[in-house]
Amino acid sequence: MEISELKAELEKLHTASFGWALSCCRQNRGDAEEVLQTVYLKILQGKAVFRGESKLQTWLFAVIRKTAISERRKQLLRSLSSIVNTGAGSNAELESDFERSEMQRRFQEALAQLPARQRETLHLVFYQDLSLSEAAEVMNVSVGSARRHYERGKKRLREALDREGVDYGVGWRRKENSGAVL
Amino acid sequence: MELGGDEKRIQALFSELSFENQSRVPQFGQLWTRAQAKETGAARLTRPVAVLVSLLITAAAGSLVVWTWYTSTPNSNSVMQPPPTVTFEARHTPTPIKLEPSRKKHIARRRHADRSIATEAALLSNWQSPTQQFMASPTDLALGSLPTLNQSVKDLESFLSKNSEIMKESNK
Repeated sequence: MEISELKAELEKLHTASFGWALSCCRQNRGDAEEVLQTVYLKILQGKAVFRGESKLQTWLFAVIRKTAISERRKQLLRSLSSIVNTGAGSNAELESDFERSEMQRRFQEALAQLPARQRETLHLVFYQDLSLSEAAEVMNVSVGSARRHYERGKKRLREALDREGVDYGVGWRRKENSGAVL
Repeated sequence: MELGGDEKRIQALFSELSFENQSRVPQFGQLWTRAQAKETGAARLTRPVAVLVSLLITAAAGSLVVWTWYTSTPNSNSVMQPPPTVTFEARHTPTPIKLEPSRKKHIARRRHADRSIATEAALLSNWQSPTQQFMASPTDLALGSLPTLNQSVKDLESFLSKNSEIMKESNK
């Protein structure tokens, strides 16, 4: 695929990519931007090459996920070497960045309590409208494993939401995706 | 698979989140341009670095080759030395060149080995078998040299004259 053609496709997927990057970066906007920019850089440098073996979206999401993981590792090393705790700053940034409703905040907190794989599966299925097999491809796991993460994640999220006291009866903002799950 | 009640509710929360995230999405062009700028910057930086690294590798390889050649020929200035007819000791006179400790050790070890080989060679050349003296005969001296001309005649004449005098005296 030509770079100009790829650029156009990436632009179409940009919003979804940023949402996924946010999820991979625990809703930290700065980190998500950094990750997405690194992904674009990798594509430009030819370090990440789309060979058409899968859907562009699943390939891109897999690259974003890997990049986010490596960035997180780098951050961890940096935080180990410096005493400054950046966590508080990022939380403050989060709060000031956008005004989130109380319910959304609780939902985010409940989501953050989940193990990474479960959170990722739920995000890919419910947020990105991917099927379980596509989610499995993005996460580089088997479909069976993705299904397990999905079921366990749902259960744990439900329990966490119950604990947080989140009201489920929210209005629909998006079209329901009934065919997302296999 | 149909979504159950809980799933619908979870999806609603995710939809809410997606809606909120949409307002935070940075412009694609902005990120793409920054990535492009980084790429060109990185390329500009990597080119001199690559040249430097290749130069260093070449220099290291060259010095390694020189070093191996230097160590494999211990008397590198032997071309300047007299031909090999000179004595063993003369050939190994210490050179006033400043050498590294490892090289000095190597040369000393080599000299020691050469010296021991020369001593052994001298001993071997002087060696005689124990039976050699038993094989030697008393006539070896006479047989080993040529007789002088008329020596035997002279000896006989002197012997005969002495004998005739003795006989005469005895007869008297």
